[in-house]
Amino acid sequence: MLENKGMRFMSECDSELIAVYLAEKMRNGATLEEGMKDSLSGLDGVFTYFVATKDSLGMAKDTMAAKPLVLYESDDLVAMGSEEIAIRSILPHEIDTYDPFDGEVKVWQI
Amino acid sequence: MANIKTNENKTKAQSMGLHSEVLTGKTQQKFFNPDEAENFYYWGTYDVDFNKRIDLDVNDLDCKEANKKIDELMSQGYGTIVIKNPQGKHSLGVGVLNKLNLIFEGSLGYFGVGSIDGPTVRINGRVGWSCAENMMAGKVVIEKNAGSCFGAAVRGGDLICKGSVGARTGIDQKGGTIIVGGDAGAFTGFMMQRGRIIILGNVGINLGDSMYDGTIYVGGKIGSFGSDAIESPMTKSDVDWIKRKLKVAEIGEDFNISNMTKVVAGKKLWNYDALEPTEKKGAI
Repeated sequence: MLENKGMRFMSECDSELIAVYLAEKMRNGATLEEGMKDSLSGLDGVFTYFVATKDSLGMAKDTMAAKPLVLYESDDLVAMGSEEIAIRSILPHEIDTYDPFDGEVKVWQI
Repeated sequence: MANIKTNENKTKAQSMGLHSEVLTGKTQQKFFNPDEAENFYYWGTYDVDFNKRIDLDVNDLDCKEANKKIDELMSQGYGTIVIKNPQGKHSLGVGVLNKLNLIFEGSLGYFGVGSIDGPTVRINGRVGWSCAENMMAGKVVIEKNAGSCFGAAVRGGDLICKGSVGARTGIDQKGGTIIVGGDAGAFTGFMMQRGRIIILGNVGINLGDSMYDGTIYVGGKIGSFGSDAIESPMTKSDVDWIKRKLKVAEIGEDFNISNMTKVVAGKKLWNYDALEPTEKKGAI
């Protein structure tokens, strides 16, 4: 469908589809957050992804919540990983992390 | 052992040699006498002294080395083991088949304290996916949040998370109690078969989807009911039981239990019959 709109894909990786999907949404006037919320129903399959633009960072988790994501937020830092041990490698002190819920979208402005 | 007896009145299937015995009794077969328990050797168990305490720093150990060290300490009689610097490592504290006070000072990764049978575990941090999977007995208390598949296929014991948990909490649960102080994600109690789940906060969509049996109590809002999950009236015995359990869990002291929603299986998806295994073979 995106190819019919003139989009071209450089790889066989399904993550590229998400980037192109969001870019197309934003080109048509949607904000990053709006595009990500649309992706929950617009994309097929199970997914959890995070995305970065030049001035924002976002994460989205589908309604099946079948893919892991661990999140840490403080006033000056956001850390995400598919497992706690990844975050601990940069933040070894005791911190509060959590799993975002199904269908959750979060966007931070940089 | 199951009571086995021969049956002279052979069915057609027996005559054909498909089987030669009949199992009596519907369920509840006694497999060994409790009086013989002292002769029953349970691999991986030790006599431990709860007053004998030791700290174990696992910062430089991988999960296999750490679990082996825990086993060694139990074999030396240590009944209280404090794990320092778990740092989100996976599969820590699995397969402990002993009475033991096990304390983690930090967070665990995936599959923490899985397949345990008996220990009292306190985790002063967060746990990743599939915490206490296949737990048989004991008590596990998590002070912060937990990931998805919390208490997958637990068969007994008390599993308590004081924070919020992810999706599919209590998936395939076969017994025991799961208690959550915060919110729970989608598909809580998915395909559960026995046991009870108490969620004091809100739950996501598809609560109790395809549950065969068991009970789920929810204190907050429910995203949606799953297939064949229905609401059932709260009884006084429900309230009394939850009150006792929350006291054990050290949470929800002032919680209004009588306003909770009780969810059970509608049993419309049940497709069982009353045939014994031998009768099924005969029917084939």
